Amino acid sequence: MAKILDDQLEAEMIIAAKDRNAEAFGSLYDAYIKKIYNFVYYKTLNKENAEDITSVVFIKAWEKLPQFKEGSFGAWLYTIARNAVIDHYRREKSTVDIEDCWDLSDGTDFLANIDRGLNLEKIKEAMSELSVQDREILIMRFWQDLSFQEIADQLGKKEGAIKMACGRALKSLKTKIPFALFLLLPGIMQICKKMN
Amino acid sequence: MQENELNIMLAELYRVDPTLREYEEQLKHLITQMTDLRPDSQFTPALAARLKEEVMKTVQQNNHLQENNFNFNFMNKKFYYFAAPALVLGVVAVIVLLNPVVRTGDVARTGVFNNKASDEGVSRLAANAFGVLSGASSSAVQNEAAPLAARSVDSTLSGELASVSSDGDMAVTSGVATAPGFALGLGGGGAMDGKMIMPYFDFKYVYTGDPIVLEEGSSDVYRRLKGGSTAARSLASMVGNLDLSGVKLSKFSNLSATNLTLTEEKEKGLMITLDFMEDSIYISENWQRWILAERDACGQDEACWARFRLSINDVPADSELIAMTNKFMSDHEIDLQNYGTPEVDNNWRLGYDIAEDKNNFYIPEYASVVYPLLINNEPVRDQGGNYAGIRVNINLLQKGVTGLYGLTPFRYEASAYALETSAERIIRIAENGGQGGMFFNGSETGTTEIQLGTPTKSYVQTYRYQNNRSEELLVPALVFPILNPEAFGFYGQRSVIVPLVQEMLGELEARNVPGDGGIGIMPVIMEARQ
Repeated sequence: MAKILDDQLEAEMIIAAKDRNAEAFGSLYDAYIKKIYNFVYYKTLNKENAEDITSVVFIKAWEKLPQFKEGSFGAWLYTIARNAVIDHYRREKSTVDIEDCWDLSDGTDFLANIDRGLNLEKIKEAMSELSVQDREILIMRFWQDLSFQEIADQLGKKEGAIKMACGRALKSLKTKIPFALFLLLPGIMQICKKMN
Repeated sequence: MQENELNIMLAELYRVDPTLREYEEQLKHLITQMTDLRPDSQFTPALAARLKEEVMKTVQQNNHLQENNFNFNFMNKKFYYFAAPALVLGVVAVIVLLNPVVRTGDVARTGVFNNKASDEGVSRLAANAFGVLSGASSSAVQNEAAPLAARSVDSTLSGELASVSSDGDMAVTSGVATAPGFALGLGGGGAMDGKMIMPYFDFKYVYTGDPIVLEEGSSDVYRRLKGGSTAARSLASMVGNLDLSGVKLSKFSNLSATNLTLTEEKEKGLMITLDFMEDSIYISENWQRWILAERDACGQDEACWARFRLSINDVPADSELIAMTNKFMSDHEIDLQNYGTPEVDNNWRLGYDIAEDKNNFYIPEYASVVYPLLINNEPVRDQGGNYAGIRVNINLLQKGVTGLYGLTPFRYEASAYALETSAERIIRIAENGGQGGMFFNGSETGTTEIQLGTPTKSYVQTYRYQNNRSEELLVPALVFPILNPEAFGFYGQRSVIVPLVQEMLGELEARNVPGDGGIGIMPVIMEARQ
């Protein structure tokens, strides 16, 4: 995925936005909106919630930007997004011990396609047993199409560590998803494609 | 995701974790499913523009407020000076209140997801991290019985049971008894016969190989990680709510599965046992589906039994046996990435070769093909000098692969230990019998010279009992081939093992001294022989 802002330009925009330049902040928004929205969406699997939370993320980013010192702006933004998702669910389900909301995402967008919804639910269930970070890496790599280097940048980690974590997560996931699902899914996908 | 893109991505992962390659097909399936099921986030430029409008409106308002409320912020700071201690106390109180919940969650995650042992590969530890190894070589002798016993089941026991006479006497058939010098009973009673007693004799090992040049410095010792399977807890959690004949498993706590056995309910089906304690998989016949009804009906009819005895011509060529096991491994998608070239275990042939009455020599019903485990591209050997790894068994009578054992995840820790640098010392220990070597005191047949050839470097499975658990170590060692194994006969050694780790050698020097502390023959057997 091509970067919208190169590193130099991004650094200049950050400095300007820290000085309360709204236009510069708008450029940063343009550069990150898709990544952040998708990140939030894949955590909530609900378009309405994703829109609300994404707005909150950028507003908080604007408010906290003067405190941003060094490091990856993207990683910082993802941290805000992660916390915003948790805050969202904490407000809604205050009695639940919420670590990262994965189990709480309702996936209502998928009820229209029952097969797809059921299979996604199985994947979700298996992924719920991964650590938060491992799950995020899988989502960023396979659903958001980010490269390992981009994921490393966004999470403030080394690329090698991300690959290692990705491998570990896949290895773990393959033991959690029933083998029967592997056999069934291709057939189901074929049927879905024909129906569409 | 396109096939090409998928392959490139997997190649990237293999570079950091080569063990992933063994799951390639599963990973491809998994990734394809994940990408196929990727939810449509419904992100559009219009959505981005609409959200931006909302955000920028707030940004502009916030900008305006900040410009006009500097004093307010300052007041806020003053407020926090007073409020901060109360906030901290409040947060601490909440943490204390929630602590049991948090702890429960952490425990579950530690056991199931964050276990280091769940990762395949080799974890590097600091030097000497496994503690003192000097006890490992003596433990190894005690544990040697395990693999040997397992082998005997595969290669000899079944057939010998077929030779058991109707009164339950366990005397071995005359084929073995006519092997030069001795035969061995399997125990279980029976008449004391001169043929059943292994003769004892003095022997000495003599090194006849080339000069040995040793590497200086240190080398890794490997410890197999086991018992960390996440599957054990997952399995327990899956069945933990079952109500079995009035026993509610949910009423038991901290359940974890120790093993699971599954059977294929079909003709020549298999029985698969997952040992979660040892992290090992065993496969054997589902005995109820491998019945030789005609032989079972033989009763006391010796002629009938004889019809089911194999002749030397019934034993397929090694290449044929290996082709059978390769097909089995391939059909069952057993990854052999960490294993070397398979080899047929032909130890029984030595007995056949030296048997005088070959027609009556018992040809084992089972053949074994060993896929040697590789560490640093060096094959691992057991204490007998045989390849250690996956042992696949073939029932020659029923012409089918009956299973395997020794299949374990490739999970090891590595720690460097200082190596011995004196070739003279190594040879001296080899000539003393090495690790697990034995000397018999007394002589009936005179002293026999056992010639040791030029050694090869290998890793040797060594067991150490520590903290109530048996640890499997892979220790760099020299394997000295015995050049005249016929001197030992059917049940003898084929090689002498000398570990290269310096601290393991002291006790080997102190032991195995001919004529001093060797194993004496039991008086009752002495009498029986006379």
